[in-house]
Amino acid sequence: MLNDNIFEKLSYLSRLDKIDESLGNEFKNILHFVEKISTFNIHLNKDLDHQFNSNLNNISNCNINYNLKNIDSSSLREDNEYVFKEIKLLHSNFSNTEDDFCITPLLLDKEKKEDNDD
Amino acid sequence: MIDIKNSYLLSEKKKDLMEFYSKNLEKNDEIFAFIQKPEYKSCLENIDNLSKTLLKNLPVAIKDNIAVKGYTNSCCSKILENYRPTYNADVIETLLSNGAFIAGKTNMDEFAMGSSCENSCYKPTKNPLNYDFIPGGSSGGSAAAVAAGMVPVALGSDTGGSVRQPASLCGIWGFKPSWGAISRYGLTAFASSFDEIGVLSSNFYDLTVVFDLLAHVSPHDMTTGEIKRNEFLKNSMKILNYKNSNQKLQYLDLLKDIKDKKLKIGILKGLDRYISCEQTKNEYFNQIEFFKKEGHEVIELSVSVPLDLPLATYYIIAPAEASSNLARYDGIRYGKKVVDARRIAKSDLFENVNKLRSENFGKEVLRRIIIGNFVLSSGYQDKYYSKAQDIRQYLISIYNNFFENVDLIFTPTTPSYLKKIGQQMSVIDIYSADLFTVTANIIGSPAISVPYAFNRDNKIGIGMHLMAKPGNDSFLLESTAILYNEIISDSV
Repeated sequence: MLNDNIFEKLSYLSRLDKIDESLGNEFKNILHFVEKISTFNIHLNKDLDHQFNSNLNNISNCNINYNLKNIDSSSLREDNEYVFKEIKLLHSNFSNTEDDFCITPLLLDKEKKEDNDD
Repeated sequence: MIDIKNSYLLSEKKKDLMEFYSKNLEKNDEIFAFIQKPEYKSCLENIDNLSKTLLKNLPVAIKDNIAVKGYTNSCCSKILENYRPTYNADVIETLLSNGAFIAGKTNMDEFAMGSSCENSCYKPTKNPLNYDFIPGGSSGGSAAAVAAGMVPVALGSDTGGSVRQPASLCGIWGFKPSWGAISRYGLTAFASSFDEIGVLSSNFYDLTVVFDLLAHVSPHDMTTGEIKRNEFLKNSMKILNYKNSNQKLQYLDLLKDIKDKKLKIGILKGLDRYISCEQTKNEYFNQIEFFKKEGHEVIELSVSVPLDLPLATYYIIAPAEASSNLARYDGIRYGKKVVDARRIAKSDLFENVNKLRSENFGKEVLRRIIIGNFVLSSGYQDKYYSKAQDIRQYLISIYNNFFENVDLIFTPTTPSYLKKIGQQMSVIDIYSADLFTVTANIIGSPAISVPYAFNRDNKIGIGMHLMAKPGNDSFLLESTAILYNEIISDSV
């Protein structure tokens, strides 16, 4: 059962403007397809499978007793305050205003120039 | 007579072959395999004066998600449009140091998500066997470049079948090695625990040699490991180093030496229910009968889980990893820059990030990001993501068990995937094209698609699929040479 505000939550987590109706419907179809895994019982299936003789001890949390502890969102990188500060810091290290592209090549170019200067 | 199936590496008429590839580049205007049409002028000029390198100017097409210095690496996404990496992927360094010629970058589904090569920010690629149909995907451009005779070898990436499925539909060989056999340094990440660089070729020998060169431990990728190299692989490579001898004859002798070896081939009980194309089903059963006639032991394996369970598992874990890998494209830390973050207010910054991502990711990518974030989100993670990881472990145990009793597992490459360009299909029907290929990615094993037949009605390729135990890459290649000895010998 999905929460009423699921698409609002997902658009926030996915960093998207919004999730339109068509995308929302496709999401539900895919979810319906993958739903079969949530009802699949590994231990029951293993007991019925006479060919199967492997040790399942190394499989953690098979279908039971999952750890449901809450995650402290303030410690995550997705925290707005953290991301904002990180971005400001990243950009303060660059003087290139012309480049309309991503940081990584700029970083590499910058390191290369510094190496050459040395 | 020159044919696309000819081995470039074993040929004594490399100039003729290069002219053949060069002439076929004209087809790119129609097919759109390469994003930019390559130029073979420099190759042709140097062809009489070939270097002493192993690959002797072998032209190789590269999927647009593998970094090549000097070429754009857009992953066929608007968000990376015009991005030029400042370094070469490990596989590119290896190819160049062995004398290959990088022909150009090929079209693909955006970020390798899709199985039709229609999800590209440029335009769809056509299947060279029938221009009305898709070439498969996501490495559809690479497969089409090989099938159209523009290059003898191409590299692609395979996360759920993206090398083998287009190879099958385009009637060529497609090989996905064990996870970790080839360095992923320089491959744009989609779902890191499944991603693997694979080789597509019109010729089995050329594929074998390129794989052997690419498979090595890299200091840039801590997930790489050394694969076992058997005598077949070592001898295949040695042939290239023989001087003053007919390399073709040497290779034919090698094929003859292994021809009579017998194998234990596993087939999955109830698999035929999932094959919707009648001809594919018939070819599959004919092939099983042929294996038996040749003296191989065919063993039916009872899979205790529904045969579409691996696909459902894949479509939880892969989007979860994709949503994480694609989070970096925010236009600030990575991706097309739309704002100057130094001069923007906090509230506007996130609005701009969201706008950039919504406008520059295609629909299929958005679908997977949303699914990925959903299955990882609080309240749903245990039901979906953790459960899928457990099922993945269970599938690994089941298949390890199978490989105690059989050498290989044999299926068709696709259940039936005859999609015309632009034809509307449900998302689940499209995802089902990967039904027989995803298991190899889930358990990390090597797998190959063999060009076996062509559809009688529309000429689209029908591939057969062999899978071996993880790490047994060279054994899988030798087994393929045993089972398809005649097809391989004919193309030498």
